[in-house]
Amino acid sequence: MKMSKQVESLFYLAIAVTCLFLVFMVFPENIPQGTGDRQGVSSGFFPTMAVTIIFITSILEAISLTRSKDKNEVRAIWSEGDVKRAAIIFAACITYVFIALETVGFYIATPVFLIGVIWFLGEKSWWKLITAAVVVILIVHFLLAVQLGVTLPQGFFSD
Amino acid sequence: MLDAVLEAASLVAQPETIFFVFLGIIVGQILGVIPGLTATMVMALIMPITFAMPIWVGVPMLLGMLKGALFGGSLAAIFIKTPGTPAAMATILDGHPLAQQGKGRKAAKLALLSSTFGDVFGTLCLIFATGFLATIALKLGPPELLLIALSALIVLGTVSGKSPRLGLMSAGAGLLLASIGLDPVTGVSRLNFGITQLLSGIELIPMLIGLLTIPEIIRRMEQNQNNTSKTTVSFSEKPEDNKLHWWEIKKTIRTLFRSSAIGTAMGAIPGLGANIAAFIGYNQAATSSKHSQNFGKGEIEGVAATESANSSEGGANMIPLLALGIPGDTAVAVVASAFLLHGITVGPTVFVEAPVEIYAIFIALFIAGIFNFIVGQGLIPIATKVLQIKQRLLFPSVFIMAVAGTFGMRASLFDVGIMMLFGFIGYVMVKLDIPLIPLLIAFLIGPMVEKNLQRTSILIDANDSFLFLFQRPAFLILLVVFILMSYLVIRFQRKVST
Repeated sequence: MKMSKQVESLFYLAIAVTCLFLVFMVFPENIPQGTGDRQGVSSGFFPTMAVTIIFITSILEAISLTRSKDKNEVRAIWSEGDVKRAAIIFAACITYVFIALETVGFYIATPVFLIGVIWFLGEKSWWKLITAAVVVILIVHFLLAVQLGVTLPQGFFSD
Repeated sequence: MLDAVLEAASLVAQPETIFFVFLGIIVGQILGVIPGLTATMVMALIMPITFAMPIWVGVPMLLGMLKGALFGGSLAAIFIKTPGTPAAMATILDGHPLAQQGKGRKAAKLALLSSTFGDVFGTLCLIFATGFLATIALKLGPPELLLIALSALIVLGTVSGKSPRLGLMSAGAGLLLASIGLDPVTGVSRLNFGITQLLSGIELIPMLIGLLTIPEIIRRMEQNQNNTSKTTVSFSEKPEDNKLHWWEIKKTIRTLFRSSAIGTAMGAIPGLGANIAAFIGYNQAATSSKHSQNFGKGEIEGVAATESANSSEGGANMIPLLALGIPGDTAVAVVASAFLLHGITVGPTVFVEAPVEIYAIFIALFIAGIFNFIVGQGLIPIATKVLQIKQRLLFPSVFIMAVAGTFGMRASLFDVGIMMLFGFIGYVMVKLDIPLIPLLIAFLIGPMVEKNLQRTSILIDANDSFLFLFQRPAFLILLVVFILMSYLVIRFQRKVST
């Protein structure tokens, strides 16, 4: 997948617009106003200064991209097929972290995730898949549950 | 002071400290060999575990890992032309041609020797320079400290990545993230969006693990399935090709001193990193050597130059952290986080608040240097086997370690979610060539910047003008140093990139 400089400059412009949104819409609601007796700069000064840096640099980057000699030059973000693989892997990771750990717990979600992802990445040997899953779970269990006394997510088994 | 040093020595002499430093070196060397598994990534993964250890065990273990990974990375560079860590990139230039000539063992032995030399050199400079700089730093006021922190951010933003604009944007994002949670002056919580877990700000460890490990894991997993190394490692049958002779060591001594000094200087400036130090060390060695025509074709001086420079940088980059509270790169940012985990805020006052711990860490660093040399001797045959590990087995497993490590900190799935969120942000940044280092460092020193900004603004109010700043000699000296440093750093970076 490729991104042209024009698209990239639009991305940086979007960041600049987000900065304006933060300063005018988000900050007034989420930064407590001072009582008036405070000396020096207010609580909102520092975040506003940070956003100003992002705003100025993103505008400058967008201008620099649109002014470049070859506007049609493209940046290769992913090689052929990589974008699909990246999306699937991200989806698997998100499902594992946000759904599986909370519902079925670490000890069931992890082998399913590991075997599934390693198989997807091309490993078809079952004994290697199972060995990898068992070894990783044993290492994590030993380090966290045994050594540090952490209870790993149990999901619906916690009751 | 002597009492503190003796107490520190007794702490380091405990079997627990020795064992974990040794373990750190072994893990660092073995994992450093594997391309893609950087020292910082491994340190970030292991860091939550150090919470259960005393600080004089946890920090030397992390630094041992860094030292080990720097050497391990050079083995991959020499044998398969793929640097195990970014710092070993320059080692390919002469290390790999030597391996192609069947002299891989000689190159690896020289890399180990140079790495140990640079490491000891950097550690000595760390010990002697840090105390001196910290004494000076204690006498500085808020405007000077603000100037130092801003200079570090500007230099970091300018030299990290392809364009200064993107580096500064990343630093701005780090400052913005640092402002979530408590205002360091009033203690009022801001920008928490009603989420109780954000009342005191974003947790450092999930963010660190997310930014440092997840993008690299996803990047490695998305690549083509046949990603294992197919390069075979061969060794010469002739004994002289595998042995490192005394005359060869003698030939490189001047290079070792010069490159170690360069690496140390680079380490003391936040943001430059071991890879830049290695290229500058190599460049200087190539231009001043009698055999400059052999550089790039398998010249042992080239290996000595890059390895001593990157290893001395590894020790010296603790100087700005301990003296000023400013971490110079991501590996040191991880070390700073380990200090924070133990309730120690690093900076000039650390020598007053926790002298025994700091001296213990210094002593343990020397021991780590010696262990690195000993372990390295046995690693070379193992390294060739480790290089064959399939990435499709490795990186999903590393992802599970990252999730478990993050969860283990506070037994919180919210933290794991934060890790994933920053993993995604980091992935997008990596894809768009936006550097991560300024974001991380800015996040770490954000509270220090804000506190000193607030105090400076009060001083300006009290003096009715900012012109009083120019009546402060320390401020003026630092301003001149900052301008000169910025000029030199930008010049160096341009030279390196060409």
